[in-house]
Amino acid sequence: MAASDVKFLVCLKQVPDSTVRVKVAADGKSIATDGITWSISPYDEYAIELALEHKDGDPSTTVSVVTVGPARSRDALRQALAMGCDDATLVIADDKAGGLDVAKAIAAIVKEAKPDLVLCGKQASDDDQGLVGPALAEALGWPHVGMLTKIAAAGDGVELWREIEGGHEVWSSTLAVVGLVHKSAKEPRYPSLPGIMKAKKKEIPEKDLAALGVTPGAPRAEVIAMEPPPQRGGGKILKADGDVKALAVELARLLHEEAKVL
Amino acid sequence: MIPPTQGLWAIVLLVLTLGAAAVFGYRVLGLYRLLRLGRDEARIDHPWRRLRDELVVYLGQRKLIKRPYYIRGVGHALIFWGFLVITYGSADLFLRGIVGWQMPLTETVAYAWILDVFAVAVLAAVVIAWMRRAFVRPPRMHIVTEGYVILTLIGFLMLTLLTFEAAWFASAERDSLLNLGGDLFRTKTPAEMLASLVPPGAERTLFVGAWWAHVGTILAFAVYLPRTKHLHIVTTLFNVGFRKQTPRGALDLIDDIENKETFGAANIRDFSWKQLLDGYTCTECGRCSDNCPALATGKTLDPQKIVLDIRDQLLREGPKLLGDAKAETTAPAHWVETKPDELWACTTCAACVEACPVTIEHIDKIVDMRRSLTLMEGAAPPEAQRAMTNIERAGNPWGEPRETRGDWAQGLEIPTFAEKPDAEYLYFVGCAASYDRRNQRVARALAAILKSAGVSFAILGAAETCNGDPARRMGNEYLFQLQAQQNIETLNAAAVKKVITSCPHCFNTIANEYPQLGGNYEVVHALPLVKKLLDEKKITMTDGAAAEIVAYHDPCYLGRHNGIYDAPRDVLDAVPGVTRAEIAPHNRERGFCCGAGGGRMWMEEKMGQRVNHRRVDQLLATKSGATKVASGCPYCLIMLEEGVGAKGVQESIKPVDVLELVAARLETN
Amino acid sequence: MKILIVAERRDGELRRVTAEIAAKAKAFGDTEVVEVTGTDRYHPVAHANAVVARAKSSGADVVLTGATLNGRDLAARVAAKLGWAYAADCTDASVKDGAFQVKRPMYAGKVRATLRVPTPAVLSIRPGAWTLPAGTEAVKPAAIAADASAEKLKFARFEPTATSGKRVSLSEARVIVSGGRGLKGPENWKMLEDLADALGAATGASRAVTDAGWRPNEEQVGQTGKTVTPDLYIALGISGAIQHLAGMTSSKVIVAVNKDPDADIFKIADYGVVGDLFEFLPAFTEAVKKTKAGA
Repeated sequence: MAASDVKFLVCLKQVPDSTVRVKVAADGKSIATDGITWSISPYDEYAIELALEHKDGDPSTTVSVVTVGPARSRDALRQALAMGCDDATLVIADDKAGGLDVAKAIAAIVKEAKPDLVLCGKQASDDDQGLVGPALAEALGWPHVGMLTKIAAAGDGVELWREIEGGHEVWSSTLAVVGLVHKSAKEPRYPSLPGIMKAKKKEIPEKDLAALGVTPGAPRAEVIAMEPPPQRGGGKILKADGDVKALAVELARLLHEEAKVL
Repeated sequence: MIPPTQGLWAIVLLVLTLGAAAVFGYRVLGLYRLLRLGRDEARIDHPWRRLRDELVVYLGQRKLIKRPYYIRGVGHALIFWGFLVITYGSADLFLRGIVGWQMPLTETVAYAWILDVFAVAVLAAVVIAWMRRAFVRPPRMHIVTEGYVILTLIGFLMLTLLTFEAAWFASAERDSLLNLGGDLFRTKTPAEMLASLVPPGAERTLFVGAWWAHVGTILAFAVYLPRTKHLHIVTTLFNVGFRKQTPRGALDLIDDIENKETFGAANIRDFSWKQLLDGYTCTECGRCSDNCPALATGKTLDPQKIVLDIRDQLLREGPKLLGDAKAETTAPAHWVETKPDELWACTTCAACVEACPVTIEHIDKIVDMRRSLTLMEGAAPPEAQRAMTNIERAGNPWGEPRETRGDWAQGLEIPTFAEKPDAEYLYFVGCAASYDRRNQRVARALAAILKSAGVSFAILGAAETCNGDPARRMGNEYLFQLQAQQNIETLNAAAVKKVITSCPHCFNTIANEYPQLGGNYEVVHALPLVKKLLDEKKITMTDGAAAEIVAYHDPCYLGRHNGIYDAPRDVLDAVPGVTRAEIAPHNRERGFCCGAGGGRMWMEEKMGQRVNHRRVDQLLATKSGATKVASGCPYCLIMLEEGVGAKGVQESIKPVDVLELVAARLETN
Repeated sequence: MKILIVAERRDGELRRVTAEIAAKAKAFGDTEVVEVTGTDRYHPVAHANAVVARAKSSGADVVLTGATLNGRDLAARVAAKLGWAYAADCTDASVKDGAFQVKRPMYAGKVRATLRVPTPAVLSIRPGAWTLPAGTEAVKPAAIAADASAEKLKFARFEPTATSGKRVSLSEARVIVSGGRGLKGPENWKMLEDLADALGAATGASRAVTDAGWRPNEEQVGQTGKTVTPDLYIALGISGAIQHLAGMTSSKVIVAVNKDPDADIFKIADYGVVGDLFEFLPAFTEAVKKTKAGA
């Protein structure tokens, strides 16, 4: 990686905040979004943090953010700017754009901005697909590394740490490359107040898919039904009446046959 | 009494006095100019309360004479009152010596009496104070040579005073004094008794020598004073006069926050002049440190050190800053050296503020420095950041769903304000009682009590959001204001007039801090309200439950921050079968924090012993036979539950809220 | 329909999920199981290239992988390369009107969704979603060669994690066994670890336990520790203070064992056992081993 002026592009998605109690909407195939809190998808926040940690060490680093989504996504970009990202781009798109379309749109942005590294969260916590990152890498003809937890400069390229069971695979790559972030070293930073105020005033250019040469319509999976989440509480209480063994066997059976988690 | 300053000697005294006054004035001016480096802050509201404080706290020494410092406090008060009387005499000496005028009533037996008695008392107090430093060496007291010098000077002043008085009595008749007060002062004054020891013929020499030694010492004292912590004789007058007159529990508002560029205190200039004056005023007595739960449990926080670090920084860097307004300033010493651990260890329990005899405001400085860390640098501890993010996104520090806030009330027929817009009271439930299953039981208990008493109330349900207390105390003033504004909007839209809280933190914030943002309500904590309902006989409790001893734990934000000590005790005493126990000596204004205030509930506590474990130790040490420990705060309840568990005594002593004890004995119709 | 199944190995053995998919997918049409060879490790680009080449040459309509770490990574890139519809982490799949109908969790597991995936398609299937019928013949995948030699991305080395040992990390674990003060002391952790090993679970702890120094701080679950969302969370001797619950209430299935029937943890548990931990735990570990062996 170059000694200075490294350019990061972080792709993020605005999703219902992880604290939101998700409810299925009246149409039975989407979630109710009235009055809910929207945030940057958690893994995308880690991606931002990972890039900003690099910027902490080398202030010549620039970190740009981009999102493809509805107009409300602007708030998520502001949050990223408040955390310390340098600039943001909003690509307006509606539900018609699937993962492959979004990847194409970001690829167009990448070709313009020419970042050295593109980071995405490993998956967005709404559809949980994890498609856009690899698809973006594919569209650009770049390699990608998943489960990324650390980036280190190594010669002209980078070392990318991929978390797997029992440790990390360390991959070396020339630039440019796409990283699918699993975790940052530290928790995503809480923005400073001057950061929040500065972010409020920053221009966020808006683009649309057509301008980027993308016509939505790539093949995609389509949600046709959603089941409400199982209700918590009112669980089965088992009491040992002397026969602990039988109780243990019963619990194992329930977990296996009823809850299907064994 | 004719002073030995006839002719030229009067001019000598005049020159010496002017010289000493000039040095004193120059030094004080220097200190004043340093003080002006601090930011502006208006402290002139409530003039009558300020006058009252001068009388009670400064002249009356009220904050010195209290548990567990009665004897030391009285000792200090004697020195101080003696000092005042003697200063009156000193003024008389100088006026007579230079221009021949005299202060009223000084030519009376009564005055000679009072002066002498105080001289002896001060002398005795000085000897005791000297010995205490030399031999007892109280652990938290900052013992420096300066202290000995000052005590010796004061002692010498008293000795010379008594000596020239005795010499005068030896050569003059007391009849020359006006016998004001008659027989009351018939007996000899202490100096008069000493007069017989004066060798005949040496009266004049002794009088002149001791007189000049006394006057000279006063002048030396004046020159020395501004360089020492004993300047507190003077600064306390101002520090008390300019103390905060807003409620103790209210932190200062950062006004117009969206248009400011810097927040909180990152260097000397960011503190207010009053905060810097606190530094000049600190007498290094160590009472704040003595009472600090963080320090007591092995944290690096030491409230006295915070105050002194700021003072030392001011004295060290200030002169440079005066010369060059643009000079670089550094962060206060305790940031740089021990990192912000000290600052984050504070539970804002106000034990230090309560203990300080000279009305130093420790919490405000700590929070100001936290504000800088949080707002400017985004450098709050990660767990604190998580709590703030949760408040921001979910409206509660635990990150429980916003939508389920009112779920605790399901099936209890508790209306929301939307359903019952004419309710007299809003019960502001708070995050803990909304989400923590243990504290939900307290919310249900209060609801049952209110229903039984026929109180008209409603809740906000999911429309309620965190009051902002943890955010504000973690230094996140911005998030606090967002939360407060949101609640104020909700409350105003529902035309709420009266608010009940079961959480002292909600109580403190809504009652004392929301007015800063235009939210004015009549706020009452549940326990004083229940006390009122009991007095009005609107609640009746049945006898019959087994007798039990219940210890009362004072929540800091009920007690020290809001002065509510008696109502919870009265309620407890009214519960049939309950005998109240105290966790003495750590009760009432000396109550020991549970460890959760100041946002500490959501932070790791790795240094030393956990504060709540120490609290349970204190509880067990009283051996009161209590089987329950009651408080009136959800934070305390969570921390005590954890504490008794950690100590393995959860079977023998159960933490409860006073409200639960009442609810369990409600007479049901 | 022609189905291409990508096999995956772990420690030299074919993973069970490969067999599960191979057995079930026969119902959808002709299956072919392939295994990418020629590289030491899974290589995101080289493996995708190899699979795509095979899919094209064999005229496959569907590519299936296990929804493992590597399987999901591969499936997404293959879908992108082919330009096919994609669904990750399916817990079930069937064919309806020439398209796939799959079930999969969404919104971090808070919703179970049914999706229509038009063919051609790539699907990754969650391990354990399909049970393997007893007596199923062993799968023998055909090798397809990958070539990573020209790739810009190269495997450099493996850095083992010092502390975690053989156990999975908390944040990644599908199953977590957590202990509280009810375990009475660090010496009793062996019992908890036995259960964790039987389940292939990560171990967690309440704050009280990490504060007391019984367990390292990295194991703390809760407000001041880690927030976890496993499929199965087993809380042993944990009373359920909000500080702990804040870190684990989003778990899909919660099992609580506590001797206090009033413990708050039971209010959020799907399955609660009131009883003595030290009697129950060994019996339960045995029962789990038997269930797993029979499954």
